[in-house]
Amino acid sequence: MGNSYINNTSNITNKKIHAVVDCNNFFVSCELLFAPHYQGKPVVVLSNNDGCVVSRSNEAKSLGIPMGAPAFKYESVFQRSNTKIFSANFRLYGDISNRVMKIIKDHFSETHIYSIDEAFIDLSGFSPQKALKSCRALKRKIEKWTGIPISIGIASTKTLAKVAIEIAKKNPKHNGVLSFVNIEDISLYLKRLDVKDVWGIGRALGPKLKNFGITNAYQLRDLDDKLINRFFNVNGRKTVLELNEIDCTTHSVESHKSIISSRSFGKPVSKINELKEAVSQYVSKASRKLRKNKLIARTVGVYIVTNYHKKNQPQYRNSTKIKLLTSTDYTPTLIKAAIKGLEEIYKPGYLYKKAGIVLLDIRKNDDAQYSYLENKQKKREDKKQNYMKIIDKINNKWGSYTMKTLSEGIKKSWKMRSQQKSKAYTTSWDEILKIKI
Amino acid sequence: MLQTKKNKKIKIPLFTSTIKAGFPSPASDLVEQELDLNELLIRHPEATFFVKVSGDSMKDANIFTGDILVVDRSKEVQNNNIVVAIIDGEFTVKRYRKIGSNIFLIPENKKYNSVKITNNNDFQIWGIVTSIIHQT
Repeated sequence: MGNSYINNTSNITNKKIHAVVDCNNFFVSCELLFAPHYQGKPVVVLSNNDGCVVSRSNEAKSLGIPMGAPAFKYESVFQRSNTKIFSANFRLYGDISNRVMKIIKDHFSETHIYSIDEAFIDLSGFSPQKALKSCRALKRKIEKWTGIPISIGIASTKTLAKVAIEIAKKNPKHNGVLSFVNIEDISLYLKRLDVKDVWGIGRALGPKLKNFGITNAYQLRDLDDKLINRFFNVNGRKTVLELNEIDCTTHSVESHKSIISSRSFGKPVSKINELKEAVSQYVSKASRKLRKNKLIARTVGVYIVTNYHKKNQPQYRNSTKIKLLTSTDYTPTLIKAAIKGLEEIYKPGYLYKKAGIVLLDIRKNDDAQYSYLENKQKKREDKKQNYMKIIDKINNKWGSYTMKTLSEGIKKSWKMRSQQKSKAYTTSWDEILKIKI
Repeated sequence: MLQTKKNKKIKIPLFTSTIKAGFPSPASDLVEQELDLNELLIRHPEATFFVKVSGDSMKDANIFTGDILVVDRSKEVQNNNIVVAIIDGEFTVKRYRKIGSNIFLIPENKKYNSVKITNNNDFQIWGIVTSIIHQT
């Protein structure tokens, strides 16, 4: 795994401390901030594309509505229980997320944003008491400033911090913050966590482990070396080590790699549609490289430039970067971003000589690194992966527009009874909260 | 007018940067920064939200229909603050007053009555109004 190092924590003064911060029911919480009359009621947020449940209030969870559930399947449950349905409003969620993350970063320099609603903080150097106190203060601040409830788990490894946060979320007596570094023996906590809920244990592995009598995190921690090697690849072994308080932090979580794909045109191009087609092909090529190396990217850069050797012709060059909400290797998403960037920088009336794209913010496509939300959508993603394999072959022959058509074919269409997208309360002046006073 | 004694050595500082010919601008040494409304009105961006109001219950506080309020959630409420509050699930904007252990939400218009917050009310302060943007 390249740059990983393993830190033995037997030296107490050098003890590593990791915290994980996670927003509770994040999308729903964003909606409730501006629609407080739904507090205490069942609320769900549905994704735009295929009407899956992507966030639930605690009351909706109690109704047994699972994460990732197809909305049409639960229509009667929604009706019976008067569940409030929101269509996903990513402009709002992205902005609120930025606020939460900024507050965390302003407090702790070693913050690593993991997803739209989750961040890791390296608190090594803090005493256990100070770590706990600071995290409690952070929680109070985030909730007051943004209105978003959060939970925090603190432990000597990231995997254990994730165990702590799962327990903090389930048991209100912890008041949303649970620290393992102040506790001598965490066995009782580990026994309470189902093995499938351990960070790094994929869906397939959970049942396999249970067949061997490994049902909780405690048993997983104490797993025999031989069995570890039998069940796990290098990522899984990291999980077990981290449960044993051996820190397996890799330095290159956010690597400095980038993938560039570009080409000079034989004949100069001036129409945006031709540039779009070229850019789409470059993205396809680059994302094939991503998938081949098991990587995912979060930012797409686009650039276009005229021929600087033709001094008598008008000159223009420009570039831009589009950052995605979550890292991906899914070509249509990357193409969409590149096209958006191109539309931003394109100027008519110029003869473009070259266009290119660059994929940035690249990291390993590690199953363990899926956020909670992504984990539940994993089944759909796996389906997408299979399509991508076919598409990779087709793409060589037919070009990127074929992929667009295929992806639209995957979507289910379901007329939602009460489809409602809330306003962009924080990013559009026309849509700010209106109050009658 | 500098005066020097004869035969006394005088140290002359060497200029470390080139001197351009021509009359120097009196403004060139000043740090130039444009006036920024964000800097004036938004102290805590992560905690700041905007709200548009309609209605006349706060007209005596110079809040009129169409005005945009700058709301700061980071501040602790103080007596007489204008607040955005939620009563029983509904948003409102009123002046906050605490007398003893009693909380009142007071309109700024004689047409309306104050509201006393009781244990039966579900009450939260959503944020403190720090500025009122009224466009003419």
